[in-house]
Amino acid sequence: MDLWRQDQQELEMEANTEGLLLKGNYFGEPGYIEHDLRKGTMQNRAGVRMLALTDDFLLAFCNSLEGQMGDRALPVLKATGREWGRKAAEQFAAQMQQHFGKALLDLPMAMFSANLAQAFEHHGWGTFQFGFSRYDRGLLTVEVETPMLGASVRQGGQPVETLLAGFLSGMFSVFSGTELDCLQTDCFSCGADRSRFVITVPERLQPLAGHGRKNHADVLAALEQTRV
Amino acid sequence: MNSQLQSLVRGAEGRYFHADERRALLTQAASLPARFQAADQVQEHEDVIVQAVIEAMQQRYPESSAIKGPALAKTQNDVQLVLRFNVQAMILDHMRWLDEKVLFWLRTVLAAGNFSPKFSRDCFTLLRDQVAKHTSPQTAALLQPYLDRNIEVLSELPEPAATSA
Repeated sequence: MDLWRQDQQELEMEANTEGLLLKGNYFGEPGYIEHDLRKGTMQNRAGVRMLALTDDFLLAFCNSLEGQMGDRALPVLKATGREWGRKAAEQFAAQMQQHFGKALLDLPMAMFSANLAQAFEHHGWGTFQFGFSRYDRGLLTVEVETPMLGASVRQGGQPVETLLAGFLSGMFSVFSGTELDCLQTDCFSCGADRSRFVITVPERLQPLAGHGRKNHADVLAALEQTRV
Repeated sequence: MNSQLQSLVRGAEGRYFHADERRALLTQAASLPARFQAADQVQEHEDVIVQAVIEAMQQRYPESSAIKGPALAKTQNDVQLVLRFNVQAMILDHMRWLDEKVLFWLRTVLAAGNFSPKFSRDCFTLLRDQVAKHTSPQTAALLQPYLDRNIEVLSELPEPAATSA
């Protein structure tokens, strides 16, 4: 699933089931998260230690960063999300390979998309939908219903999900093998019906960084006019 | 353990089971041999059932890319996977387990693959019909709630912009 090679004219989306193990939802309960009550720990199916955080923590974290660092808070949040997303992508790829018996890049695209959506859903991040219809133009879209931060804050005038934008940029950079960036284009906390993001190479997003009141459709239209 | 029994166990925390609770648990345990018999029947006829579904779908949707070429094996796998999870859920008497472990996830896969609701409904209706055709009435009756659930959940797809099927 190498989306970004310059010489690639078409993305192969044909199902490739050779060697694909007959397995269901990796993240389906019961069994995805186990508790060790003696140690007071919680692990996922791959043995990765997990921790339950409330949205109070996220709000306090983001507010404290902003209070302490002012304008410098956003780049820190983005960088934090990016590093987190990279690690999550590596873990996700390893888990999918172990479960389905095929490398992540060799899974049918529909399975990749569905499994990734299930991962976010089962970790409480909201309901994710990934859009690959513009992959041939170097653009991916993500829509999130009930996003973890956007659904928790008061309605305001600015997008609030910089952490998630960073996370998605890190994650898809690992999946694609190319450095990508992610811009939030619609925000649930700004009154949109859901939060939306666009992922592409950084050079295409830089001119749109302060896109002000442009909505998701306008940003996509502007990006489709650009090429790198 | 199905969710009803789980509720029963939770309700009995800190005390011994009442007579009616013991009866419910023992009744469930007593039904296991018949459930395993039904599972054995399906396992014995799985290849015939899945092949019959695929062939019927190929006749109904001759132009569909989902049932020819490279995608055919994936579609066959999906039908086989759902059938096996139906049998497991029947043994466990646990509908929610079927939902969690395969149906909601597979629905997302089918939607991402641009399958139409009609295609999915037809496919899993055929699965139900072929199970009834190739197994005993008792086996079909035990599996029917799960086979019906397949149709209900897996046909709740958005109409795709461009269809694979």
